Amino acid sequence: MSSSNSLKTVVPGHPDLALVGRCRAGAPEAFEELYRAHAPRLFGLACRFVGRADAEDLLQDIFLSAHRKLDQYKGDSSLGTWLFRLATNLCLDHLRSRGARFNSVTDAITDEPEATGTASGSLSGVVDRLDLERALAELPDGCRVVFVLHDVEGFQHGEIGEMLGIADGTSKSQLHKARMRLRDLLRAGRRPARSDA
Amino acid sequence: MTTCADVQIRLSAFVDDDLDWAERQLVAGHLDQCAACSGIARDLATLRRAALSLGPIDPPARVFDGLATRTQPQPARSGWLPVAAAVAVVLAGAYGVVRLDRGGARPSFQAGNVATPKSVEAPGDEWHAMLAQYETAISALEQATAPEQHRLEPKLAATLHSDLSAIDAAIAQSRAAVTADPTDPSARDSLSESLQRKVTVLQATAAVISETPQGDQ
Repeated sequence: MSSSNSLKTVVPGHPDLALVGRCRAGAPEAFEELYRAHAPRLFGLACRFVGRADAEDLLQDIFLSAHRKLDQYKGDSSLGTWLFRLATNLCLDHLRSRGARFNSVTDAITDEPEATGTASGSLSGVVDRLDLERALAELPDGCRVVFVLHDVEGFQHGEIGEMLGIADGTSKSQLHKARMRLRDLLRAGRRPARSDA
Repeated sequence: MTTCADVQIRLSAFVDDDLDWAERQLVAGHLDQCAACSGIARDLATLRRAALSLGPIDPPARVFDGLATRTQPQPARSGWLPVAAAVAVVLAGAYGVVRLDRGGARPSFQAGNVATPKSVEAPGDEWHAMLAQYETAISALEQATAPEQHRLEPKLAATLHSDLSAIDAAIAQSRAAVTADPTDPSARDSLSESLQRKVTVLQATAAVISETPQGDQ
């Protein structure tokens, strides 16, 4: 998923505009079409940001919000990008409302993993997707959000900084911490108790 | 002298190819000689690749079911177009007798006063009666909405026009298929579904017009 999507402007007559037009007109299957096209990506984002337990309600909130705001979509970006930004903001709001852990993405990881890097302690070269999802759920909110936006969703540090209101350097630092912590969790073969995403 | 700590803090940027030339040379030189740091670099690259496998996740069906319920449109604020209302009543009555569509209980977003037809194909006479009802409704809705099209936003009007053109093409194809084989159930379903879709879009058009104050465009 390229972050270049965010720069794309939808031209008149683009299917995104037609779909939004049909949604706004109340065409029965238009909003369902919009949901089917975009829900999986946004659900993946929500699961990784807030955890599976809250992601279903959050996904409903995302699409309800989109439903209310469709008249604000003018085709300045792709519909997917517009929805993604909306979803990201709602996910971040949810994290902020959940507690003090996400007061700042500059949250420090105090117990930095010790880097040994011996051959026997290295990752095998292939990381199981479910193991990675579980380990991801173990990260502090701040660096998990940066990891998801950068490594999973493909955004650049400048874009992440803009979304989160942080400096590029902070985004880079959080990404490094996230990767090092993930490496540590995966090497230790931990199976976190938190429900998988 | 470059220490492991100096290098490790740059390893994420190194695997992202996000270091300037001098720093990259420094890190690369150290990795050639340090098994520990080169192991970490390999792991970070592995992680980076693995992250790309974390794609979309299909939400459970209940999410959409709940969403469909919560996005049911409210009744129109004002009664516009008596003809459209009458059409809705006629169609509601028609659906009470004749029910179409092979689909199951898939939720859909409803618009206006007409329920989306469900259930199985109707016997011949009822099927023809239902087609007549659809055509009556379409005619009435077209007559009612045509003089008011100027009240729609140009982009929306163009989109609706495009949708209706596509539906008309589907109707023509389905009619031809039914003419060729009047007993073909898929052709009959296709025709009735296309007509129903046209009613729905015209109803949606009427609803939007009813929500748009005069002189708003």
